[in-house]
Amino acid sequence: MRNILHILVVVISLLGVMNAQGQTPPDKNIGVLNGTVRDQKTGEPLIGATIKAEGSSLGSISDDKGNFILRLVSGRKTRLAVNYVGYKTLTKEIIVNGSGSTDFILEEDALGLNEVVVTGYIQTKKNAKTSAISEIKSDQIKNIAGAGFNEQIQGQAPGLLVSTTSGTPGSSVFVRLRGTTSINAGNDPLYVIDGVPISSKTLQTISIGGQTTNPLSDINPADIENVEILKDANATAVYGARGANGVILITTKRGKNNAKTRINLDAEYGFAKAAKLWDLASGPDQAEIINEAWVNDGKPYATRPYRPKTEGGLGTPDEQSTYDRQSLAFRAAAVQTYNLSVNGGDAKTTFFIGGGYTSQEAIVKIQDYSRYNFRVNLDHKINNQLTIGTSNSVDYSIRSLSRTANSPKGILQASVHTATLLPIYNTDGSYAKYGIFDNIIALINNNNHHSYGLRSINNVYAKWNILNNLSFKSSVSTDLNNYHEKRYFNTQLSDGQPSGTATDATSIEQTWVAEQLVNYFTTIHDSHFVSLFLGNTVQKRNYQNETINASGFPSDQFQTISSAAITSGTTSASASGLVSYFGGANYSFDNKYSVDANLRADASSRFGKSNRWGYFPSLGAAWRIGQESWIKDNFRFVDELKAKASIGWTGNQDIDDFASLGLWGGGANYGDAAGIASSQLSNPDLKWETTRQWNLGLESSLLSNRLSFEVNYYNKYTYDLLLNVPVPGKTGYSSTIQNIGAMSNKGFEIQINSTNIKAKNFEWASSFQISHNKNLVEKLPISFSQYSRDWVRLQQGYPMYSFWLYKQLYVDPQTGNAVYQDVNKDGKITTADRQIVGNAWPTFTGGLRNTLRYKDFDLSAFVYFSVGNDVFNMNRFFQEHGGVRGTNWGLLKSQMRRWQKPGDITDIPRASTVQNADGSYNNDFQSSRFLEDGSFLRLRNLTVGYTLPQNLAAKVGLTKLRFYVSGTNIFTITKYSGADPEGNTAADQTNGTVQGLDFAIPPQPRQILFGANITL
Amino acid sequence: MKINRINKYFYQIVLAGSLLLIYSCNNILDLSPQQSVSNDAAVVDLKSANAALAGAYDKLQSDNYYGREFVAAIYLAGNDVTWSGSLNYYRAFNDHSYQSDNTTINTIWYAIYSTLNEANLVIDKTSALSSQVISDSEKNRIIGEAYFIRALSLFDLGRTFGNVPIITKGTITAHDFDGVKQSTQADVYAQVIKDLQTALPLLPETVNRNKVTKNTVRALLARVYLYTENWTKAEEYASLIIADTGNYQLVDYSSFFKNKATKESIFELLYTTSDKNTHATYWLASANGGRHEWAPSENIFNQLNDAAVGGTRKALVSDLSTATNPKFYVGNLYWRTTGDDPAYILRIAEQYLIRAEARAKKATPDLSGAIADLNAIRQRAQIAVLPLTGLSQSDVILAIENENRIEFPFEAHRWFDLTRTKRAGTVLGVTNSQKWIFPIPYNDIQADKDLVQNPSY
Repeated sequence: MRNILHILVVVISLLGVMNAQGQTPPDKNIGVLNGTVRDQKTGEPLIGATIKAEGSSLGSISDDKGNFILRLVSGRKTRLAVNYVGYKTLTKEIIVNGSGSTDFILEEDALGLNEVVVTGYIQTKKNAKTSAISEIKSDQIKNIAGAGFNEQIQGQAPGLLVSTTSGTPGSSVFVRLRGTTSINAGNDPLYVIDGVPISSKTLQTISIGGQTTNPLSDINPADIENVEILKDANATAVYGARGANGVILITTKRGKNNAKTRINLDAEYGFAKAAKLWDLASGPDQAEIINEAWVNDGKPYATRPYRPKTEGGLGTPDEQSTYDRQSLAFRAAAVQTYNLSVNGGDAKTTFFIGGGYTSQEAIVKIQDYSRYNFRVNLDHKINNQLTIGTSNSVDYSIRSLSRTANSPKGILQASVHTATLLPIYNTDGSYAKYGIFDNIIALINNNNHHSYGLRSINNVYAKWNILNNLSFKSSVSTDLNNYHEKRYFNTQLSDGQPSGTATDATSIEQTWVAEQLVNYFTTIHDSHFVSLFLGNTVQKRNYQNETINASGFPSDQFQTISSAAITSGTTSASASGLVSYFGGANYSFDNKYSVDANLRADASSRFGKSNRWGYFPSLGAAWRIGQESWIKDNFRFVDELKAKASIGWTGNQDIDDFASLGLWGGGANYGDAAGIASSQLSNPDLKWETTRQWNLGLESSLLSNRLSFEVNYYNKYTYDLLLNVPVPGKTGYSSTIQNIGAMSNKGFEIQINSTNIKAKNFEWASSFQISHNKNLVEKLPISFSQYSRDWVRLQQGYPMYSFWLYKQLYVDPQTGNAVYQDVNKDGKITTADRQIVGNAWPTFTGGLRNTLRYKDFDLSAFVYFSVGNDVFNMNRFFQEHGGVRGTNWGLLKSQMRRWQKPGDITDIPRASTVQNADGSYNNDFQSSRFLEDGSFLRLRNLTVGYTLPQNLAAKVGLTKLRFYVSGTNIFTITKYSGADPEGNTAADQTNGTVQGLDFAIPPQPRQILFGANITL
Repeated sequence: MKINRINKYFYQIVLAGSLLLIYSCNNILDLSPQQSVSNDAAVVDLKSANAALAGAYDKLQSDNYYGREFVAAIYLAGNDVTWSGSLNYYRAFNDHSYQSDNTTINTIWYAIYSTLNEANLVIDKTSALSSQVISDSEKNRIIGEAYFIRALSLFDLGRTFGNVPIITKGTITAHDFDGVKQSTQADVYAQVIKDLQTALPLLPETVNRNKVTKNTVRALLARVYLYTENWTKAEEYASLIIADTGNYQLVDYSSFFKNKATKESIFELLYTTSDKNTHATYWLASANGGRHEWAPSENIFNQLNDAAVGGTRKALVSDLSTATNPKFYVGNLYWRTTGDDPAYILRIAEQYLIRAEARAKKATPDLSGAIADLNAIRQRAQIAVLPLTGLSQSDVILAIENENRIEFPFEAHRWFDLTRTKRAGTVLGVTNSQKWIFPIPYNDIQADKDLVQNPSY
């Protein structure tokens, strides 16, 4: 959008200049000045820059080589102003006698504070913004490995919490903006790409053990020009019903008017490998623990399982072998990405055409991800008033999947959780399978699960500039997403019994949006700037799924459903609609004071007729204190100092379609009889969940803009929570969705940017950001749990993602038994003694980026940190079982630190499987012993690049050539004992209500990439 | 084309488009679900009443009820099946350490109440249908079947949790039953008997082993009278089924679970390859597609393989041990990897043992009659019969208890038998009799202010 405006401004100014030229009467004393306009940094010619003589109507425009010819009054001192959009205006006094020559070197205007900019729907002067908005440039994230841009923006903007919950490329990423505002309604920010609100919900229907796909990895990060993050209510209220979780605006690359056609080729190749895996107990270790538990349980030593074979046992612990399955499952993975794009434009038309391919193997065998991207962005000016344009992308992604995490038949549990003392093959050479696990080699050789995603995001707009500053824009957008999953288990696999099973599922989600927008701005007497907008959107979403299950295949060679003996199918469909009207006004005075107000009204099909409409207002004000003379005169080093405040209300309607109706559903069949059953209690009073947010901010730039900072404090309060409230079980329901409860998020954000050194050959810049959020469930009439074993509990007075556990105080040095806190002091450990022990929220997250340039070398380093987040290490829960889970379930090496004899001081109780006298268990209990501090600091990225000097590049016919080496996740400093403190097994929980459960999740790998950027 | 002409066209197109959108707004907001119908429109005629009844059977066969979880909790608590897998909340049944946050106890509770509600809705909605859309006989049959499902649900709640709220109306809103408190187990059983007696005259005399008929009701009545120690009635109703030898017979032991709907079966729930029973998945070894979540205990394995005790019932277990994986036992009652194992609710063998116990315990004990019934079961298992005379009353009662154990180790029997006869302390070592009923789920105690937790939890 901003680019469109740029184009318009250029074109309008061109026309003005042309007219001026046409009207100039010929002068007898003509002088001619020629020269070139260039970019200061790159030296590239600037096409379409205007050169104008002040106080006269004389002027010229640079041509496609940056050259200009300007006619002047000969011999007279003339003051010239050279303008180019995005650059600082250059003024120069010049005298031409007859003819002369001079070059103009323009400096890029990074701040562009006086520009009128468009953010979403709103036009303001950049310096008059009252909202908390962060911007991420593509440069900041382009070298960070990852399939989706939402992984790459981790730590790049304050207030944004991003967690990559699995090391598998293209899989789920957890994103929260300024905390979590809702429990059961959606919590993802709204993503808007080139004006199209897109779906961020996965279409995956076949469970792979808690992991889901990342629908945003469909978008090629290389196409992204910049990302804007709208955080406070004044910025998001205009998104009304969808704005409560913040808005992320993505702008893709477009061509520039009057720019030389450029061809860019980026190529990258590298490797990924796990930085850390699990330290497993050996075969002898496991046998020792089993024996120890046997004796501790009071069974006779003489019959312990691992006793000499001569005594009828399985051999002594020392005689046991160790079979390593972990190294069979993990690999060094190859990663490659290629992007080719062409962009450019003439006076009327600009274009960007791009294509990309990426192929990323996962560090876990069998899994991989590849994607083909195509993009066309085109803008064309039909005439002075009418502009049309389009943004289109088509993405095709292919995934090879296998089950990890909470899936006993999956590859992670087969490799990490199967006991190391058990052989991989039976004596007859067949695959050995134990307990609930499948065989690791069988899985690697036979797993056949693929998915094919086809997504197309399209937008067409026409913009009519009725007057210079009054425009009407109409656009139609679609987000078409098609996800096809195919899974086949042959008879080698546990799940393929007895004769092969297969599933074929197709999901289609279609969203279309029509939008009308009127924008007006004007400046009155130079000091009053007013902008107004009014708009309307209509949106409809359709979803459908068809799933076919099949079993009974003739042999392992036949894998298509048509050859199966038994097939069954099911379909589902749903739809929702949203109609919205919105408008706002922005006023700024004297470039010092500004206020704005926005209002949006939304009607959603998800609510009953009486509560269909929601109204979401917001108000903001900003004061540029730095423009006051008492600052200007006394603190010269202050370039900008601005205070801002806003308040607003936003909504959330992200619940199931038709949630307010009392329903009966089909599919409740018995035998051949088609059945129906009641599925939902009616709640005609259901309405919007509302978030009230206020924001106070201060931003400043100092020392000729070399140091800038921004601080924001926010306070969000969400009420009428759309909550699945537990209802009495005697009704036949466990919960219904109601507007009950309240939640708050309060926090602050600090961002500091600094240009430390800026010399000809050496530049060093740093940016640092840190944020803190405190989430609290303010009102909740009934506490309730999430996930199996009730690990996570929602309770008034505690934050979300709180762990509900028995608090282990210590291990009794005399008995070796774990001692848990007896909360109600009844001498027994019962459910009443479970308590909230910690939560998955970090106290602080932040990032530090340093970029350095020395001559032609560049270096950037980015560190991300998270402090205070707890992780429940479920691998330890299962694998420090102290004998409870017998021989089949393996142990972690940490089990060997268990209590063995009186006097031992340790936190791991003695190996035993029986209940303690107080009703508790030593091992295999919902114990706080497995809750760990998950704080970490990670060198997310380190990139070193070399750019060929321009003259050398030119010799080989290139405009630019850069080589680089980039490392991602180079090291992680953490006390967490698991493989990755960011892992979460419960990514498939609706709305992410469970965080910080690490269970058999492949860790994020360390990656090294070698790449080249070539511009022709 | 002239500039202003283009502008004019554009203006017209946009205007037309906007009008169209405003017109279509209502279409966008007034959406109705495509795969559901509203509560009022759900049951309107015979066809939809039958569909709603199928929905109630579907709840009965759900994973968390007779599909697996309820049955598993009971046989695990009966101690002849041992937890050997990953989900540790099953272990609590083995050692009777269950607490109110136990996942299985939670899911069973909600699954049974959901079934109860579905049955109530069928009764309410079918009763309200006019004679123009449904004949009296069809209406009676549907209501009768629903009464049975309600009775079975209440009975299972009562024998599992002891004191539970009795609900006899379908739920419309979440707060319909605010204020309804728990009834005692005795009151619950009284309601069960009342519902079954209501159902009996409404149902046809036909034989259908997958659906409820008069005989299904009689068989359950026999069991409920046994639980309420009404020995005469228990004997009377069991005799009605046993006498119907044309329809109900003790078939060769393994053939009742190798085949479907044999004459052994009075009521078994039907599953198909597309509407699957997941029970076998929890029994089977990984190599056969299962998770081996639990296994026959070593004790029951030995008992079943003892030719004098188990006889042909040894077909219930297999030994898949290897050198590195010793004592690897697998149960065979739920075995179909295709997922179409039936769920066995009422078998003729039980009726013999009900009558045996009733005869042995009634005011004037009929010990030889009891032993004759017991011997029918022993003969079928091809083990030695007991002498008709010479055994004391307590010997006979003990023999019946033990026979029940060997006959139904993997069905929901032994735990209930030992708790109703107050023998769980002696036999299973659960000396705290308050643990003979499960705790009310913690979650529902929180959500329902009318509930009072059972003692000892």
